[in-house]
Amino acid sequence: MHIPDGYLSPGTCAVFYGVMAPVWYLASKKMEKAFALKGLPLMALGAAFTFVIQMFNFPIPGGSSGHMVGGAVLGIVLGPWAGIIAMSLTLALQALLFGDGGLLSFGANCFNMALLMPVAAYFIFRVFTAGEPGRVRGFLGAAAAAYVAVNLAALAAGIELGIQPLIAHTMDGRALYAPYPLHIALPAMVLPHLVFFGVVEALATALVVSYVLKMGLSVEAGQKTSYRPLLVFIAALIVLVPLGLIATGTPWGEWGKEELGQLLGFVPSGIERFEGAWKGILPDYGQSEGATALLYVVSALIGSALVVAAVYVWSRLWKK
Amino acid sequence: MEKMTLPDWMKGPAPNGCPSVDGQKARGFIEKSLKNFASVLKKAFTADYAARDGAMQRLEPRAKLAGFFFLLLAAALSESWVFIFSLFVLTFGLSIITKVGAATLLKRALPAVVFTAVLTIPAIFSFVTPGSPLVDIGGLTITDEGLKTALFFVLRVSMMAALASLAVLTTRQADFFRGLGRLLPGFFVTALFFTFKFVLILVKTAIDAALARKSRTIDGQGVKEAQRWFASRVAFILKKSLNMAEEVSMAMVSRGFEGKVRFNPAGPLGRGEYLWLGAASFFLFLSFGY
Repeated sequence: MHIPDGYLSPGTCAVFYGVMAPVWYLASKKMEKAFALKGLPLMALGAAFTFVIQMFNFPIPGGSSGHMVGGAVLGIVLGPWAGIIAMSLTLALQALLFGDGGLLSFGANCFNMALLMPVAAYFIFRVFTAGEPGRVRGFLGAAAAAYVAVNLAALAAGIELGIQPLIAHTMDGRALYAPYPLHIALPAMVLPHLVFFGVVEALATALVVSYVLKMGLSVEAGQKTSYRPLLVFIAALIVLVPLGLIATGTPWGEWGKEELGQLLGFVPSGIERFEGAWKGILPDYGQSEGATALLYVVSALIGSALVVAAVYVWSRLWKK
Repeated sequence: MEKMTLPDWMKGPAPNGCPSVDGQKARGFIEKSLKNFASVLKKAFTADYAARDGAMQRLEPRAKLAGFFFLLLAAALSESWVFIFSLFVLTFGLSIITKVGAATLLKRALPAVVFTAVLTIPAIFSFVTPGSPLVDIGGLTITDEGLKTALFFVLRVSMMAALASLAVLTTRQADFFRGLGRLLPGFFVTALFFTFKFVLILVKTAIDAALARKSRTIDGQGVKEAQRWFASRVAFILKKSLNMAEEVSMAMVSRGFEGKVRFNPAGPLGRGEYLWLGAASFFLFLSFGY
């Protein structure tokens, strides 16, 4: 998942450095506040730990083996802020001294593996293990957190690579950087992670976290968990939902029969048979004539409330 | 008295290399892990090139790293074959005057080049890059545009991998971090330096664990047992890391560390450094137009 130099345009690299700069600043401030002078060796050892576990091969059935990224373990054990810094340090060392991942694409690699992975893993693990989790729920929570986190990182990398032919090409349309468009780059990155690497990351993370919890090693465990960043993120997403109304054309992958026929030259038989079989509870997000941005927001609110309610009910059931 | 001579096999420069890294194919997960650890150690201790009396080795690390960064940026910005190729020639020339050698540089950059070349093969065909057909192989058409796209991409990636490798090979690790410390925030560079040192310590722990396991394993064991071993060792390394962080922190405080990282003031730049920075920035500005 380490993107080397030359795969991303300098513009893309600059954007990701721009995104990561305030994140690094904020994370280092949080670390300073939480750990004071202990922060520096803790971060460095967290980074060294991730570096080493990435080299450990994890055995899987069939005699094969794979290795983990480790971002999820860091997020769960050290917390999201420490996870961001430690993982960034690991990636920096790999890029600078070992030629693994590029120097210009360092910002993008950090966004994928040092921001998305530990933060997503941390919050998913926290939601899964709300209340008083037993060993099984802790194991499943860590597995789910790692699986989603590594796939999220792969999705981001796929998008970053897939947009290159669109945003950076010669006058005659030849790609200057990663040559594969989204419809190739995205499945190429995501499918192996959904099927193989995600499973390795999930299983390895779950086993390691189980040991860590058993040994009472978690640095993060002693700190107060704040869901505020997660809530702010969700609120921001809900507020930004109406932006979709500005976009023209059909969203990617949501084509109707007719559009698909025009794009592909034929309509797959499955789509021909099943399109329109299920309309949903709020068809087209409740848009009738005169649909407004408000309806769009209300649909998003109902959707997110349902997700929160489902997770709440699920965690209550687990408690019993 | 009979003259004693050394046998020929002892005179050569380590002909067999490290068995964990060279030659034999690693099979089990333990062997693969050991191979990875050995490869890290091998890469981490390639200081002999940095110690050679080459042109780049004499440069002040801050200026050297900044110059390499300019060249990397130039390679990333350019859209011209001629420009990228001229950078290639420059890098080849640098590998000679630094006494690193083109073969060493190529060996170091090879994994990225091979990976990219293999990855780019489908891009030469018309189903990825439509355009003017060049050759038809078993129903698959190679297009002119596809071939140009793929070759340019591989050339750029190889170029950038070679430049980054040359920067690392010609700089001593201590100088590397000192140079970075004057270009990036001190806290970050110190943490990076610590990370590097700790990696070497933790790799040693991991090697010991893997070797201990290997030496005690007579017959193959189940996957579940192997996975449990993996998890227990990783948790052990984490425990060791956290304990060490505590000890290092106390040692730092007892020696007067107050949270601020200071580097010795940088020395003045000489003619060589100005020449290098001038040449590198010249290439960078040139890349804006090509």
